Amino acid sequence: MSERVLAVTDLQVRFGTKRGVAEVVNGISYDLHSGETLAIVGESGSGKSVGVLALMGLLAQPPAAVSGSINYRGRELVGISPKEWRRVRGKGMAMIFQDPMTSLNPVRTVGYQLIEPMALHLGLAGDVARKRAIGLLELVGIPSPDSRIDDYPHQLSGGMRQRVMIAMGLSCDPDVLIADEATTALDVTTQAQITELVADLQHRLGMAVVWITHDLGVVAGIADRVHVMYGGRFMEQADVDGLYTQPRHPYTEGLLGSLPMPGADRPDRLVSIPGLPPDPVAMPAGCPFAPRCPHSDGSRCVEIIPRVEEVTPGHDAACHYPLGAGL
Amino acid sequence: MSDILVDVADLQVYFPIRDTGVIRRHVNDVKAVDGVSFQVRRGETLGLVGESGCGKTTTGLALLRLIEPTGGAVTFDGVEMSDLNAKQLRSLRKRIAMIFQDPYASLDPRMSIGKIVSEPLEIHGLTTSRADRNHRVGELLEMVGLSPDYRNRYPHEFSGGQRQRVGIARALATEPDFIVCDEPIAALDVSIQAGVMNLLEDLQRELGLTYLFIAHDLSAVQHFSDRIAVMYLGRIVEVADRVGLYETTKHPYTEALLSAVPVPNPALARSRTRVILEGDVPSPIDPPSGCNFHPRCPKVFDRCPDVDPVLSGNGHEVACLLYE
Repeated sequence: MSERVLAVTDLQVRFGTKRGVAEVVNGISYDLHSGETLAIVGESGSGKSVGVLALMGLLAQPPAAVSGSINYRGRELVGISPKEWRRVRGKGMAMIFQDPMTSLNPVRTVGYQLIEPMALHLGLAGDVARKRAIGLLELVGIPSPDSRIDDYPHQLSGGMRQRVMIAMGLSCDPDVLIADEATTALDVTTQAQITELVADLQHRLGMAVVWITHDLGVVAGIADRVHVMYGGRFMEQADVDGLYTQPRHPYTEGLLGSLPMPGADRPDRLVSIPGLPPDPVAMPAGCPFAPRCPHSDGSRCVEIIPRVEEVTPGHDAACHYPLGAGL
Repeated sequence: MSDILVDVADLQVYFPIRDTGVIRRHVNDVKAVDGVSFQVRRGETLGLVGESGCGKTTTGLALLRLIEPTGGAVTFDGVEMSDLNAKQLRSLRKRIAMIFQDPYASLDPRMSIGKIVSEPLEIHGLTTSRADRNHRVGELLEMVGLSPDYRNRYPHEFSGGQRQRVGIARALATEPDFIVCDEPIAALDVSIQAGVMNLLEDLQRELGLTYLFIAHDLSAVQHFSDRIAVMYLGRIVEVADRVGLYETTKHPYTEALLSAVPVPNPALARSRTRVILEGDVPSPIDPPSGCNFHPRCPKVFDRCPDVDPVLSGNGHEVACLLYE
């Protein structure tokens, strides 16, 4: 848990659109240490996916404009050339995508797709590469990997495909693995298989894992720390227990209240958050959540953007009136 | 008036597989729904839960005869639906409505919101004049929390949650007794889901509606339903009221499903024992012999591959040899 592998500081992503400049990621900062599990939770349009695409150098510039700092093991990644990116991506940091059907190449075998990054980053070929690919498939729990390696993606089930994606992500021993909604397209029982698998691999290989998800339920059992994102900013960041038991930001509180809890007791009504997320082309001048917030004061909240500040040790919120702070 | 509004008995939906020859010989079937029986009581919400491919959506569609069932019977308020001709079926469909999963695909992008909501009124001849129809459309939009002024706008001008509200208004147009809700919140964001669920609950209370709520998300189903039926590979494995299903879970599949549901509570998520199922759902073309869950069941014993369990029990029904 000690070594810092990644430091993101004031990361911003803007897109030029016909309607004006879309402010999608508006200054997010976080550190990631080896062996740690960080969850970034947000709804669609919160900027969580664009944030990690920037982190992986996967945004074409233009139309995107990325600024701020991404420091991977002492090396600055913002502003490096696409060629330099190729050496970092896949090797140091790898990514698992949401939909394993569209992110695997349908006309190439599983083995081909597994060996491709190994050839590029590790210079492996022939039998050595094939053996390593079979070993990876075995590692991610695919039965009879020596025959499955010659299968095409359509011959595998959704859960199996996601396992192949994970094997691809692991193929060059990354120390940061980013899972972008990696279990969203899967059924709950398969989802449980995949989250257990990633946690187990993380334990054995000592990687840092970043889960990007919209589902506060999925990450409750696996994350060490949780960052809640809205309107391209972090609204709240805390260790997992602190965030769920004592949310400090009204948005987090609203999200938790809107989840149906499994179990015999049921609340009469779920809490729904009125209104819609902000338009990135016309961001509010103040707190992005102010227009939907039940605690907005109508003046400071709509005029001044709150900074991420510590509410209790290790528990930060970006709110002028954090919950339970006695203000 | 009987307490049972919808009675489904041994419903089967098979999709034929044909070979590629000239004659297109019928070689096998995808047994999407393979002998499903359940009852929906007047005014209740029955949750139908299962993983993708278990046949829950096909069951919903066959119930409305949007897909012709291969076998079995669906009785709606005493009327056997398979006996009806097209005209009789159409008039019965006034009383049954459906809310679809994807609010982007289920609204015609070239029709205004007002037109979408008034189409069922026109088809069933429920309004006499244009003024009458306009009035009713405004009423329906208001009922689902949309401004009647939106009637001239088009679906692309609305968010997912608002579109789903339009879908609900359309379903309510003919004043149905029974609504099949097929994953009505799955495509929506978490904070929006709660609003749509609350709306469906309010409408049920006000209008005395009966729901079949089809979903893969057990937490949502449990929140919403009075009774829950769990489906696996074309069959119902357990039916119980919502408290019973959770507190005295019987079927090993339901146990696994419940333990896999993500809980937004870190301490509970870490401490509970999870039953992680091995492997994948088998193919419905050639389901396993006996109990079709036996290859993945953690409690499998010698009789399971040979004997097909029957759904039985009083109040809390289960199809498992452990309870026979």
